[in-house]
Amino acid sequence: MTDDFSNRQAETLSALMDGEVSEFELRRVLKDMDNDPTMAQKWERYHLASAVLQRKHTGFTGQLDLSARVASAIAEEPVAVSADNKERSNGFAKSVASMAVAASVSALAILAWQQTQTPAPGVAPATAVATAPVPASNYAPAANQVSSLARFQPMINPLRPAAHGTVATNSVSTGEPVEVIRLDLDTQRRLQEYYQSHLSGAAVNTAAGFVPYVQSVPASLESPTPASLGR
Amino acid sequence: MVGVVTWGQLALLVVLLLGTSQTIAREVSQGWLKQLLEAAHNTNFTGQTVVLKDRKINSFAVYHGVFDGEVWERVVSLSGPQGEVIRKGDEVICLSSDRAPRISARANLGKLDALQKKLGEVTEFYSFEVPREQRIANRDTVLVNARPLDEHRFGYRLWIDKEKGVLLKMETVSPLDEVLETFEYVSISFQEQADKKDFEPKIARGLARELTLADGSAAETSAAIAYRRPGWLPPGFIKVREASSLPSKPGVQIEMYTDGLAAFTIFQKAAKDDTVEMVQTIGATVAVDRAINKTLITVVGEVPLPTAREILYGMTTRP
Repeated sequence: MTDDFSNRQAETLSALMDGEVSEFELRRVLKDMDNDPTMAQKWERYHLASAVLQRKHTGFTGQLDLSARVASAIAEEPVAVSADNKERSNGFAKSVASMAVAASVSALAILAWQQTQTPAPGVAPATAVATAPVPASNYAPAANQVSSLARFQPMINPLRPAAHGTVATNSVSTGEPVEVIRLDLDTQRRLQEYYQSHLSGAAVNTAAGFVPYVQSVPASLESPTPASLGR
Repeated sequence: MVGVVTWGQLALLVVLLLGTSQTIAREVSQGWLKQLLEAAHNTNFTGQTVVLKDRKINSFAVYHGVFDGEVWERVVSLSGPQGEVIRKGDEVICLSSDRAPRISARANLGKLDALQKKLGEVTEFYSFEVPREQRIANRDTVLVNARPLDEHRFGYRLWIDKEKGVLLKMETVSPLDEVLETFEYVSISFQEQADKKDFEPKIARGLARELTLADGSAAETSAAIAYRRPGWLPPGFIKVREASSLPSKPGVQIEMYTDGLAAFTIFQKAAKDDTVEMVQTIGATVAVDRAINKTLITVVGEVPLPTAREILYGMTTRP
C-alpha cells in the first residue's frame, strides 16, 4: 500500500516534471507535498537531477520548497470577514485563499520550470505575463505591481520577466490566481512585426550596429505555436 | 611636521586618482565607440556569428559592405527556420520561408547619424572601465565595459576589433549582472571590395508574404486616433525615429528613443476594447502591451521591464 502510494507519487512528480499533469493533479501534488515532506524533497532531487543531466545552470540551490512557499503566501494573505461569522467564514475564506494562492504559486513554479526547458525547435512559446489591470484613469506606474512580483522573485524577476513561456495573471499585485494562457495568432504576429520594426530601427540608431538585424531574423524570433487561446 | 601626509590629504588623493581613472576610462571607451561607428561606414567583411539567448543558440552568416557610401548588410540564418534580413541603405527587408507564418518586413529607417550626435552624451549614463584586450574569432579585440548608472538601462560589454574597429562580440547584461544575450563572431574575414551578389536574397521572394513597414504619412493616421505622447522618459533617451505606420495594420504610430546604446520603440494603434497588460520577452528585448481607453500601446525595447512599464503607463494625451 505504502509502496503503491509512493510509486504513484513518483509517477505524478515525474509527470509534473514533464508538464503533463492536470490542474486537479497539480493541486493534489501540492497537498501531498504539504503533508509529506519527503515528497517535497523528492521533487527537489528530481529537479536538481534534471538540471544536472541537462547541464543547465538553473540557479537552483536545492531550496525550492513549494509547500513552505504556499503556506507562507497563505499566511500573508489578508482575509476580510465580519465579526459574527468570523470563525466559519475564516475557514472558508482561508480555503479559497489557499486554492488561489496555491494556484498562483503553482503556476509560477511551472513557469520557472518552463524556463529551464529547451523549447523544441520551432515551438518556442511566447512569454506573456499579464499583470494587474490598472484603472484607466490612473496611469501611475505600477510600482506596487512590480513589488508584488518581487514577492515571487526567485521565480519571476521583475527586472527580467520569464523567458519564453506563456503566462498571464489576473492580478499579480494582489496575489490572485495566475492564469496560464497562449497568445492568439494575430497578437503574436503583431508583436513579431513590432519586434522586427524595433530591431531594424535599433540597428541604425545604436552602437550595436547590425547586431539587432541578427536578432530580427525570423530564426531569432521563432513564432510560438499558435493555439486556440484568447485573453 | 613636514613630509607627513594627513588622512584627509590621502583621501583627497585617492578620490582624485579614482576620478582621473574614470575620466581616462570614459575617454578611451568613447574613442573605441567612435571607431565602432566609423567602421560601419568603411569596412567590408563576411563572417559567421552565433547568438545565445533564452538558452538557445542560433548561427548566422553575415555580409557587410559599403557601396557608394551606402551601407549594405545581409544576415542569413544557418540554423532553425530559414530567414534573411537585407539592408540596403535605409531600407530593410526581412524574409522568411518557414512553414507558417510567413512574415517578411520592409522598413525605412531613420537617420544614421543619431548615435554620432549622441555619442558624447552616451557616456554620461554609463560608467566605463579601462578597456582591456581579449581575443575573439582569432582576432585581437578591446573590451569596452559599459555599466549603467541607473536602473533604466542594461549594461553592455562590447568587444571591438583592434585593427578594424568592428564589433566582434556583444553581451547585454541585466542589473543583476545576468547575461541576457550574447552575440559573437566565430569567424570573420575582411575584404577590400564587397560583392553585390552577396546581398541578393536566396529565399525566393514569391514564397514569402511581404509586409511593408515603410513610413507613411503622419497626417493620415493622426485623424484616426488621438495618439498619446510619453509623459515620462528615462533620462538620456531622445527620439530618433517617428513613423506611421505599419501598412498591413494602418494607423500604427511608431516612435523610437535611444540613449545611444539602449533603445525602445513605442507603438500605438486604436483598440476596440481595453485589455489586461501583457509582457513578453525575447532575450534582452521586452514588450509590454496594453489597451487603455481604446488605445493599444506597446513598448518594445532593450530596457528593464519596470522601465518599459513606466513608459507605457506614463503615456498621456495632455499637450
